[in-house]
Amino acid sequence: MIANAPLPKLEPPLYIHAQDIQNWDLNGTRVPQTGSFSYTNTTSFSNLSSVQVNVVSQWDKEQIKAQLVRYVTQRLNHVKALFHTRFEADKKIFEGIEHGKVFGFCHVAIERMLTFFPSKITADVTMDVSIVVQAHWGNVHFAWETFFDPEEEIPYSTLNISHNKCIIYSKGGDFPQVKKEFEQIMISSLK
Amino acid sequence: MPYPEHLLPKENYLKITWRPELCNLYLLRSAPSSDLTDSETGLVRDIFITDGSREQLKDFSTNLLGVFTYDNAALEWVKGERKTYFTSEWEEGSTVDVPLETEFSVRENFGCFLYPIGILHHYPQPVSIARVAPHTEARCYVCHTPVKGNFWHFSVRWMLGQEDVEVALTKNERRDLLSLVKTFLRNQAILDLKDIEHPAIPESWYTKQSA
Repeated sequence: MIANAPLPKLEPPLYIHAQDIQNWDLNGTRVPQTGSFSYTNTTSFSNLSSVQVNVVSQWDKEQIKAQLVRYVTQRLNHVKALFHTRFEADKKIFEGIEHGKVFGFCHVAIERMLTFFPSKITADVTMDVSIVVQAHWGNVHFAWETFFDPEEEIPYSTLNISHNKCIIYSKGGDFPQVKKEFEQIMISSLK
Repeated sequence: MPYPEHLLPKENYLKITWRPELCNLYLLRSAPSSDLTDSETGLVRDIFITDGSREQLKDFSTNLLGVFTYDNAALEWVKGERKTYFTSEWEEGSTVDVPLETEFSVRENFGCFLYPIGILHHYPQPVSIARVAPHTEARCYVCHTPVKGNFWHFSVRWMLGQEDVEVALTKNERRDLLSLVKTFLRNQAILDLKDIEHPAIPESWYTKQSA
């Protein structure tokens, strides 16, 4: 009985340029790239009749975009679920505040920050009747806090940015103003 | 379990006045959960930093680590008149009641994190409040504020000159300051306590010395 053997580990393919193969000979010269013996110029494989330069599948831009959207959506759903769990655990903090409003502004902040592919992102409630969405780009940390008050239709927000634990930026304004401020900071840093 | 005697102020105790050596020590902030950390960022969750009270920028409540130990962070007052008594300010030279076992509880699930006093004292970002002249900067002070049930209670407070920020600032200015302070406290909290021992607090700092 032949015992089941573990599958060999798949090695990445060796890419061979057709020109190299045309230089092979039968005298034992090994091609450094492949370690195999060469062949005379008269023996050529039919599939090498034209030079191949593309050895991987070529995705079009829409396919790449779809993959990135899937990735961002996965992260978005994870952070939303995390926030919802935390909100449910401490929803008494937001007594008198419409829950849909809290989720709405929270989701906008999360989505906006995710657009710029942070290395880490989280969303949480605070005892100050506010939510805070934090996103990290390496050791630059953003904290976007939004306060809720039944008397305020548009909530007030603050944006604090830290680098190596030191606060380097601090500003407040209504939610749309802070959203715009965040976007301008991120877009200008990408230029 | 009897209330830990080392937490109670004695008649011969003195309030600890500011000295530079305090910068080498730590303030302990207790929390009602052992799960303090945000799994994504590794930082302490905001819900454990502030308690939502209007007074929190005037009295961010902490304990001086040393005679006060990590285990003492489990203690919690039972709600009622006696809680008011034990959390009220202690006056030098006065005696205090010993808490009965029915007046406090020991939490099974609790946590704590630390702040180096040196970091708080040298709070490097005084907030500019241009509207409030001449005291335009909100500064951070570390003060010994013993209460009847805990001699080691310290308050961290932010003030504009001699003015309380609650009085001096508008609602949005206060929110700006609160957010900035929370960011500072979130960044500076020490969650990994295993290498930080209870330091010795010299008795000369807090007891009347005989002539």
